[in-house]
Amino acid sequence: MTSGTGNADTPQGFPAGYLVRVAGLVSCGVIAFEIGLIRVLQYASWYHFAFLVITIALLGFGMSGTVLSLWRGYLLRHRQNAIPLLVLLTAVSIPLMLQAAQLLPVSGRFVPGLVFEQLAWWTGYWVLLTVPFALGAMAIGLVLMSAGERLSAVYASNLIGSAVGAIGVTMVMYFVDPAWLGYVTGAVVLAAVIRPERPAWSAVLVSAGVLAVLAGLLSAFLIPPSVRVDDDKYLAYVNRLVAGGQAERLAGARGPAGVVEIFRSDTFHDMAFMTDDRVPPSMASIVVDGHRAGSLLRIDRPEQAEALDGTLMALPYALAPPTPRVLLLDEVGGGNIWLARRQGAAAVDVVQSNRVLSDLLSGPLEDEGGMVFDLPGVGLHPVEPRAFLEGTRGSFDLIQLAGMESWSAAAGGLEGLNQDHLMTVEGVAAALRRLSPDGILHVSRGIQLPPRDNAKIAATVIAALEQSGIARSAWSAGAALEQSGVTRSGAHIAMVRDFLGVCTMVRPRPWREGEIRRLRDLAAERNLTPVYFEGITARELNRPDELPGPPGEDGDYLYHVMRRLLSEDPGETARFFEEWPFEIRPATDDRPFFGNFGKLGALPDFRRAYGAGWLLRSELAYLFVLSTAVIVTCVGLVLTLLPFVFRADIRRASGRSIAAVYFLAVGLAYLVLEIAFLSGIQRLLGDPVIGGAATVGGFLLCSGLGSLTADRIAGLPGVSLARLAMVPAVLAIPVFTGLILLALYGGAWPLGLRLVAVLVLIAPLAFAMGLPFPLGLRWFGTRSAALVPWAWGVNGCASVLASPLAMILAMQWGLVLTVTAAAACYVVAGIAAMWSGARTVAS
Amino acid sequence: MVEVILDKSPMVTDGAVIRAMTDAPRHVFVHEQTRRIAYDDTPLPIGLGQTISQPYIVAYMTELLEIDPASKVLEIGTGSGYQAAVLAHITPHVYTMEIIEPLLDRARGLLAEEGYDTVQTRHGDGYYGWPEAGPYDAIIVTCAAGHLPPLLWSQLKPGGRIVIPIGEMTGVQRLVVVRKTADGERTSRTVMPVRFVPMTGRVEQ
Repeated sequence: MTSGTGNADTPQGFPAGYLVRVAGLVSCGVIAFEIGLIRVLQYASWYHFAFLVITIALLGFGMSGTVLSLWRGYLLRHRQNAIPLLVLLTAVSIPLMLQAAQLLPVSGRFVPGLVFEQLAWWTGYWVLLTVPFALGAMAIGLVLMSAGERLSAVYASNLIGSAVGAIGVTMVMYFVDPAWLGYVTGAVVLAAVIRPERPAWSAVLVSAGVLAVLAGLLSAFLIPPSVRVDDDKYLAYVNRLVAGGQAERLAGARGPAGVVEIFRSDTFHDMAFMTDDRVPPSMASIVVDGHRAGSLLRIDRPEQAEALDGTLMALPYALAPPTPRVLLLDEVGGGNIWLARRQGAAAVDVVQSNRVLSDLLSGPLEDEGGMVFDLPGVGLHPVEPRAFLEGTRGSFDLIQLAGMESWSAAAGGLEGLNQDHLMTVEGVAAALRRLSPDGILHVSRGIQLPPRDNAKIAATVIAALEQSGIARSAWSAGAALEQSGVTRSGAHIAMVRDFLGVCTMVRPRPWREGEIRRLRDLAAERNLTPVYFEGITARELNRPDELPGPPGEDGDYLYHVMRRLLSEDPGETARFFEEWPFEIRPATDDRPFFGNFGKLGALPDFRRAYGAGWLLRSELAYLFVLSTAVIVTCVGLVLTLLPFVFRADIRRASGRSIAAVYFLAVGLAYLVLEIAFLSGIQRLLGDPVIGGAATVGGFLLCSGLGSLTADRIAGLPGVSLARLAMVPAVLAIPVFTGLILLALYGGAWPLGLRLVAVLVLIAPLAFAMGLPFPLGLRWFGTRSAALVPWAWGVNGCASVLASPLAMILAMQWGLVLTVTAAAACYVVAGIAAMWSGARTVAS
Repeated sequence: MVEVILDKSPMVTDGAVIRAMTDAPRHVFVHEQTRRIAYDDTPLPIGLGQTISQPYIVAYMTELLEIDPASKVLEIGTGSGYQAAVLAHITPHVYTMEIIEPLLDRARGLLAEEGYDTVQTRHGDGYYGWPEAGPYDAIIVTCAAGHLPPLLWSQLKPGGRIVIPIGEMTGVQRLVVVRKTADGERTSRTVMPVRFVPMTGRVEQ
């Protein structure tokens, strides 16, 4: 079985370090491609298709296990050539398949009459993109099968390489266009082809690689790599305007948080919630990842922005203290800064977490209106809004949730998977704490039919008032409480609307009679429709703009929502949450999914009411993503079972069922834990990109170190596989609790300190999570070598299932229970190891 | 409760609208490859990221305009030309604007071929309307709008109606009827949720 090379240091005849290097470089390239592909799809298509990349990538890993199991003997006999060849094919297939996929006419908008044709194109698209993952995983799997005594080192290299790939590609995204990411990541994998001790073989492969690169470069020169943008995306529309000479691209910049592009056109007129008779000034359109993110007014004086006085956002200025100190959270284009200046704000603090965007606006676009961010008295803070609120000691007269100023959170529910740590009960409570005594927190949001976003905003605000101890629900705020200064929640809230959106205003103290009188006058003056405030009368409701309302009741559905949320009946709110066709219970830090409005129980009603259009209307479109992920998992499971049918050695292998349970549990647990921690770490670090890199990099790196020392740990007296598998179960919940406490008390620490604290906190857990897989592989491998590739496949399939499963768990039951479920999986793995008789790992 | 909230769509009852829908040949305005399903109650792609509207919505928006043979109507977003053709069966005073020139050229050709000679077409940004031909009794906007374009409002006669989908370009919008009272005041009513493709697209229920 050994090759003829004299410098072999493994039983399989590979030189020292070769297998370790291949595992590291291929993992690095493949993970980098996975993250790069997510970026490409976020830019070109829709978020939910990007989410599917994880599933597709892991399916590739599951498929590799099947191939390796079925042709184990052949591949092992020819591994000297098979490994480098698989590496080469992986490297070449990455850019090739990515470009080929761009030629397919896939569309995110499914037309009822053409669904099957569209699904066929999507299937082809995903099949093409699965190829590099399957090839890369086969290369890594074969390396693991060939590793012998160096298994732990090879697996450690796999994890560390993945960590480097995840962090590295995040950095590369600052410099490389998404269209070129396939070439960059392919090149990393190509580096693994080289075998210095076999110059002839290396020469052949390197020549083939160089030829492939040259061919790639030539084709790139003739047809530059490009990403086909979905026809229904805003960017596609703007690109058509550019092609027709009606728009011009002013600037662009890229980073891990997205590709930002600014376009100028006389045909742009987007101004949120404007009912003014004046035409808005000339503007540029800000496009982030192909979506319209906001408008940049091309003006240089507040006098030019008079149309802004006719927006809903101008209303709170007429009710706030004079010359207010203003905080704008997640402001995009600066329109609200102009408004604040027009309304006489003494100071404006602007929080914008997308650093690429803020640098672009206040830098190269300064002369196009970006100078608004540099006006005297304006402070720009490039951090996450929640992190700013936790860290600042300032108090503000007006806090505006500017990031919410759009039509709806959820494009049919597709945004339901997005996490938002500002629009949670705790986030809004943090904003309320930063208000001056006479201040107003306000948010303007488009009207939906039936209400959901504005209903959830109201429910969140009420819960935040109660959690902060500012107010109590009507049923609990009896006379005794009122005497002690605690008031009813409804007394703090006022809502008005026009025919475009709803403005919700909250005070840290009850609205006064004079202020309500003023609000009534302003509504009449500005043609606004009152929705809710204490003392509102039936004749004020639902005019001059009329919205549908419950039959036999005064007012529209939004008033109905407020009435039931503020009911004096203790059980009414809970009943209402149950009855309403959308999920409008407030989001919390444990379930930070503001955009999740879908309710499975209401599905039959939606089907009856809307027929074929039920999916978009029910806000359950994320079900499409999750169900696709589940289907892919089923495919993976079938692939995993195939070796049973065709391989007698696996069918007869001792402990195969227990091995399946063990690797399924370990695979599920690892990714579910990682996804749950990702949310908490992103919130603590206040930056999704840094948070993502710290989570993925931190976990993989520490797990890699764990795997590296696995052999030594396994040799310690009293150590068994069962006990080692249960260590992460013991650590998971305390570490996650530590993360929650860290966010609570360390949110205002400097970023560097928070980063170090996170890494120190997760290190022991991640280290322990790196032990069960390589040691289990070795233990079950010693019982039957045929189980090794099969276990690799089972682990891959478990990982496929883990990503949608973690999302479902977190959305339905919260992050704490998700972590608990992952810990339970490690317990199951421990029990499986115990049953398999693995008293000591060394045995 | 839930079924009441998720109200069923209203019926189209105006005889003139039903006749117009019967007479306007939808199959002419769709693409060759979707002609076999031209009369299904579904929107269909017509290229350039646009679609031809679901017939029900075309009919219902037409009914909401409350037009008769004497009415002057402005359509913003010609698209395939089908909506203009339906309007032309009710009134000879139809003005339609489109911002995407290739789309307008195609619609112009189809309208001419089918003998819709009374329909006036113009290439341009519908945000500013067509003031030279105004004021109008009714304006129909067939692209998702973030607000009511002020110049369209100023081109509407007192007593006139604008039917406009309000909301996100790529999501679900609300179909709103905005009325100008005799003394120039604005009242509005949301009719139903609808869905448009971006900007110059058409609508489905």
